[in-house]
Amino acid sequence: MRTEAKKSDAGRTKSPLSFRKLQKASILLLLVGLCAFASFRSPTFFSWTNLVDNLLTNAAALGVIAIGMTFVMIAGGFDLSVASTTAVCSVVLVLTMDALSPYGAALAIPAALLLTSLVGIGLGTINGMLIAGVGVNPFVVTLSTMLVFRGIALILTGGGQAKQVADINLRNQFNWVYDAQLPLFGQDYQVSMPIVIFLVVFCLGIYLLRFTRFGHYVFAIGGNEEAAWLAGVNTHRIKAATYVLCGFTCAIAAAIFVAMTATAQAESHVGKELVVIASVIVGGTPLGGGSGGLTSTLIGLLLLRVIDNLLAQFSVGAEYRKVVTGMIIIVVVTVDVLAKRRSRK
Amino acid sequence: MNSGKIIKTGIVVVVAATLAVVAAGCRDQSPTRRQIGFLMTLDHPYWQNMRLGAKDEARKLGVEVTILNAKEDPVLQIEQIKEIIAKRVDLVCLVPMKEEPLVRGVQMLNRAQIPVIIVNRQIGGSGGGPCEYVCYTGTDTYAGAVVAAKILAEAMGGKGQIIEFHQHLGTGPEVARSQALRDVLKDYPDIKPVARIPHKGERDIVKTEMQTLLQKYPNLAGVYAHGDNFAIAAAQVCKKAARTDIKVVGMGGSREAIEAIKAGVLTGTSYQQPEEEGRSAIRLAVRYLDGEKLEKSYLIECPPITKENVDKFKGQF
Repeated sequence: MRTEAKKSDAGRTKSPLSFRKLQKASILLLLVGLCAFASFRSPTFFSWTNLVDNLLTNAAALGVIAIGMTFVMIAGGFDLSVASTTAVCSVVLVLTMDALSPYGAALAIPAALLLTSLVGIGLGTINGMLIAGVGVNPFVVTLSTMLVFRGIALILTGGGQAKQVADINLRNQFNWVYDAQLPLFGQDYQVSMPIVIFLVVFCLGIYLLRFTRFGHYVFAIGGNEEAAWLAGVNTHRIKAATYVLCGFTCAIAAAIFVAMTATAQAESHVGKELVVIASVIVGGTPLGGGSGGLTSTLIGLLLLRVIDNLLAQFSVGAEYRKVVTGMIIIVVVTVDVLAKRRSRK
Repeated sequence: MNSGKIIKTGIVVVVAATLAVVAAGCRDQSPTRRQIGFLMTLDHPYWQNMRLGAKDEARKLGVEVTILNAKEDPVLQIEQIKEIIAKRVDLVCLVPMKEEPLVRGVQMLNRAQIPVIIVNRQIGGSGGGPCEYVCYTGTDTYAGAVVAAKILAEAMGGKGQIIEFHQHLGTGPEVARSQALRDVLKDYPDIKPVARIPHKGERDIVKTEMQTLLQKYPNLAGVYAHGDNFAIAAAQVCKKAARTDIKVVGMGGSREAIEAIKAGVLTGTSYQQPEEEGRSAIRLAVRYLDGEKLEKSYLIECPPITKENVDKFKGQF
């Protein structure tokens, strides 16, 4: 797609405002427009508490998963199992921390985080091997693993009981991951830890996607897998790696969720995979991959969150929020299809 | 025709339309009225009635209430707590979706210095660090479950096998209702619980499970369901299998349950009043904001309903 986009750009040099750019700009415009509108209408919208403490902090954990999902989707894949993977990771995190609590926080927390990351990576590897190695359709694979992983989480928690670290001190220490406020912009304007975690993962993601060979291969596979294979790219390994990466981001998000609720629950996060996929698509990474990027995903996620937040600010019910979110996804996908049809002409 | 132009115009129109929809959904709020946030769930008629009660009482007392639906998801509810803090409400009425995670949520409200009234489900009982709230109001869930368990035990003549249908494992009411059954059974040593079935409130699942259980336990004598909805589902299966000897109790006192008790399908239930819970929460909120000193707990009773007294009840949901 990358090459294709270049070709189509070259073919239509007379129009400086390319369709792709317009499409991307329309999302950004919508976001800016909504924010401007909101700050005029609601006295509380444009406040640090609402924008940073509420909107960004709430978006951070899903944002981390969306980063992994963007890699998967640029490579032309799809992952429905992220919510279940996150559930398994949070359960593993709490259970290991609980088991290691006698050895003190200095050992229990890093060890539990390490094991959780390994579990996330492991579950991602299962998806990756089935999709890239065996060649089963990603939708089918991740739909199945979504159920399997959810089942594993239920088994680990003995049927869905909320799990908690019994040691209150350890639990409170771990809550730091969510509660910590860094005075990056002075005492009155503190940034919460989940946002910092998101930013770190985001920067690493940008580096990986834009400045490494791996990132270029990811785009190449999404654009034309056959061509990438013929050009000597080990497409199977790269594709599998995107799922592994996605599993790892789920583990990071799990840590944020555990610190947020001080509990792990097998049945939490149901339906979050759709929010994550929606923000990737709204951002402009098409189903089928080949183009897109992490900044687009961030804009997509923020757009969905701002709409949600705005409607909440005006006491509008969740039912309307769903209608609006759904409409936006339809619009974005329609525009994407039209754009593709046009660039093929 | 220039399709590009049409598409570009299309995008502009759609962006404008989306803005318009959002704008239309928003309305001005008068800043002078008191703002109360009501964080709850709406996935059962029970909650719908609590919502109606709360809205109506808020209208009567002249306060504005924002109701947010957390759909039994504690993570979502904590996100909503952040949302409601940003909205700067004067007080929050909270139906905690789960006890332990929501202790964290109440702590966040404490830090934001927004007073909290806990509704329907208890919180802070099983540790998890200190959190502060003004008071608790709601059904006396435990006492209501004891009422239902006693109806069952007596209808069974104090002996036989029973099964228990749980709903939403780990929630406050689920814990209280399980405990109530265990406590009542101490007085009835000949009643043996043989199976406990957790589920998320889907009737069809209860029905399928019940059919299997009837085969598995041919001597089954009673069903203790953590809710009328499931009690009725289980009772219908028993009726279909011509096992009307099995006693089934629920709890809640829904209209449907009252009909079923009249028809002799259901043995009994305990009567809850969700609308009253919603009203009570808003009333207490206004009293607190007016500066009144409140007690720690305002419990709402649940009387038993059986075939004998069923005509006296109408049901709120």
